[in-house]
Amino acid sequence: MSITRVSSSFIINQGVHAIQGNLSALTRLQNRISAGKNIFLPSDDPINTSSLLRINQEANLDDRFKRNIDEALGEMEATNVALTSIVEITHRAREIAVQAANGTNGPEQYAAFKREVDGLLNQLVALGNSSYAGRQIFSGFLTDTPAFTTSGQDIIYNGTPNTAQFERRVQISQASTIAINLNGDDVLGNVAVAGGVATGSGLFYVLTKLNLDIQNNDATSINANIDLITTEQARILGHVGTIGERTKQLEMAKSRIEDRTILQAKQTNNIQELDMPKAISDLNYRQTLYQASLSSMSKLLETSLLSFLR
Amino acid sequence: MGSVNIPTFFGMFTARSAIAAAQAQMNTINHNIANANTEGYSRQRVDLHQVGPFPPATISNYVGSGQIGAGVAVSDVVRTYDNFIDEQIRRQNSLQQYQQPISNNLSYIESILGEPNGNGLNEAMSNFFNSAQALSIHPDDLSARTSFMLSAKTLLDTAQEQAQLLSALRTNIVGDASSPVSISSSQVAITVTQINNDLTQIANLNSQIMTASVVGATPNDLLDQRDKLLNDLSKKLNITVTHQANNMVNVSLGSNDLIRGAVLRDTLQVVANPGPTPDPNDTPSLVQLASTSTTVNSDIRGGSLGGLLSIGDNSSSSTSIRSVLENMDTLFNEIATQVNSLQAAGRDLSGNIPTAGNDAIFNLAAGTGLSIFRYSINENLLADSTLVAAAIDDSGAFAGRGDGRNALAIAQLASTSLAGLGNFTPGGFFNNTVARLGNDSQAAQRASERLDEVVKQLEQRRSSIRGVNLEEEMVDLMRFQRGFEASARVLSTLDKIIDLIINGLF
Repeated sequence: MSITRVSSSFIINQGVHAIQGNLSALTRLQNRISAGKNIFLPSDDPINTSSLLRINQEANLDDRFKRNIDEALGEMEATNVALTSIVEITHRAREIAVQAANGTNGPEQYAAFKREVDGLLNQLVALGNSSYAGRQIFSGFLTDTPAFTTSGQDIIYNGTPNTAQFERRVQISQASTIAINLNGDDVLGNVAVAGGVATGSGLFYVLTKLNLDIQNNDATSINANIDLITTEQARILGHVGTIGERTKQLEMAKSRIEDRTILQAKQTNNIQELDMPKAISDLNYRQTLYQASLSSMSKLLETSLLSFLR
Repeated sequence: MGSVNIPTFFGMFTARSAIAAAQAQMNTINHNIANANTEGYSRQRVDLHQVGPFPPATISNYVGSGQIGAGVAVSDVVRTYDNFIDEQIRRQNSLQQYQQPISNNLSYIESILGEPNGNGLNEAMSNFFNSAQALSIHPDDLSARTSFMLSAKTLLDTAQEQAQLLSALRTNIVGDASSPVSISSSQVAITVTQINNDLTQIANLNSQIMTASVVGATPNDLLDQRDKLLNDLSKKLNITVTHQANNMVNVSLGSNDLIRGAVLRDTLQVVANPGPTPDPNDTPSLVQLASTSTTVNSDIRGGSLGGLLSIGDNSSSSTSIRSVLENMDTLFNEIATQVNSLQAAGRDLSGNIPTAGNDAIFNLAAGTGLSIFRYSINENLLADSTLVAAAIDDSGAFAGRGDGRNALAIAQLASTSLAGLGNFTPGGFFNNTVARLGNDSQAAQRASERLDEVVKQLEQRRSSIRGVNLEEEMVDLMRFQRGFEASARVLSTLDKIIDLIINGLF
């Protein structure tokens, strides 16, 4: 090994440089440990910073989608409750129709049937005007307008017509949206009565026609209504199925998001969470180096030929 | 065959020369110790030679049994140095100092953006799109409308605040072409002033060095001072140094002479870019040769001045302040343009198509320069959030207060690849900008650290040649002290002999 000539000022410069270097590495480690984080600036780890930002963006979106889904589920639930009640009403209406068709009823009984069907119609109008969080659920986009209003025997649908685009959609993932409402006209229909003749569609039309037939004591026509009620029943059960299907879709989307959230948290942890045992051992190592550089510096500084010259 | 006749006082002269040499050596050691901590000092040593013998041999003078040496003389005081290492250090200095401002400022830009931990633009963007989602579900809810407008304002404020900081940082470094004061107080101008000072001093030293060298002296301390100035200058500018006669040096930048011998040929000056080429937006300040007003920006590829121009100008391929600023501008401008065109085509809560003045979320003032500074939030919509067009224009009609389809379209921009962003989503575009910044910043930091290590190594080598070692000087001091004492003893012995001859013989 050859001997390198060393100048006095270099010993000091070198020593100070080493101390500074160790101290700065020590401070950096200490920063990381006290924050428990790996990445402070993108340059600490550019590739993982990019992943981290992407995960953050996805997580933010997912968080919002989950809230969207919860809102949608709430409205699905409200729709489902309304539809279930409507189905019960159709059962009762069918029983009434069957009894009324049975030709042995007296006038008082017909009057009673009519009162009950009137009551059922009123209940249906109320159900058709169900709302969720202040919004009419069967009115399409006209969420502030009651879906149905009555005028005499007429029942009018006031929502967005089913011939137009009426679906209120909610985004549930980056690629998909889901409709959260049914059209009131599709579910319950409407009816207009002129000259004792009902025109219209849906349950409102059928029940109003039943009422008129009961009023006219027309057993044959009453009988024909039984099938019509059954058809409407099936149609409403179809809507119940739609809502069930959508609810299932929402639940699935929600559980996908929840799975993804766990994964995202895990990835974020992997990237951003400091490996504490390693960091602490690095810190100890750096500390040892720092102390060593300090002590070697002090040893070198106090040694001089001058101390031995007398 | 006879013995040489030696003059009586011959030996005294020999001893005297030895004493003088020892004194010269000890004084040089004194000088070395005094300058042990002077930056740029190279240790000096005394070169000695033997004085010609006595008697001198000539044709007429038969020397006989031999010549006797006549002592020692100082031939020169020289400094120990190595031009090659100095040259290496200057080159590495230029490279290392070039990275310094780049690395420092990129780190600063990173902290301005505040990613990935802060409440920066990424967060503001997410909040904006999420509040559009909420609005799409509750278009008839005034609080959803208000919070949508507030999040739009936060997005704009955040983007503008960051752009403002970046812009101010850039003005601080290279100035702003439209403001002469900012140019003359920029870091570039300050560095150029320092460079000119160095150049003037080097030319002066050249002239003093020449005066001394012409008469055969070696002006060691002037040479050290000049080496130090050249070293300092190389940290600021990528200079080329060539050695000339009489110990002078020429200094040039690229092919332009700055110093030729004792003459200061040229200095640098900084002027605002008058445009149009190169674009003042790309290069606000031009560094020119003062004599000819020739722009030399492209020659400045090293030193802190080169680094400042690289990070401040927009001409380099790596990340500059301007390129980050332009990316942020592109991002915000694209989002604002898309959102505005949706707002203009939609319908507000009363079912009306927004009229002029209400047909934008973000108002854009006419003008030139970066659009981000010209955007402002539409105060009409902020004051009356029912004017926000959450509903679409449904075949020329209003579908109802429950229509949030336009708001949903705004929200969906978050996951849409936009042509204006190079077919990236807004989030993806932002990630790209940050990742690229991080990469370049990391590369600059690493280059700076690596070059710093190289400079340190070279400085160690230089210091091992030039530097003063106090122990070595102590040992030498003792050596020369002993020499001095021995010569003095010889002198006193000779004195006694002469005393004996003169006073004792009779």
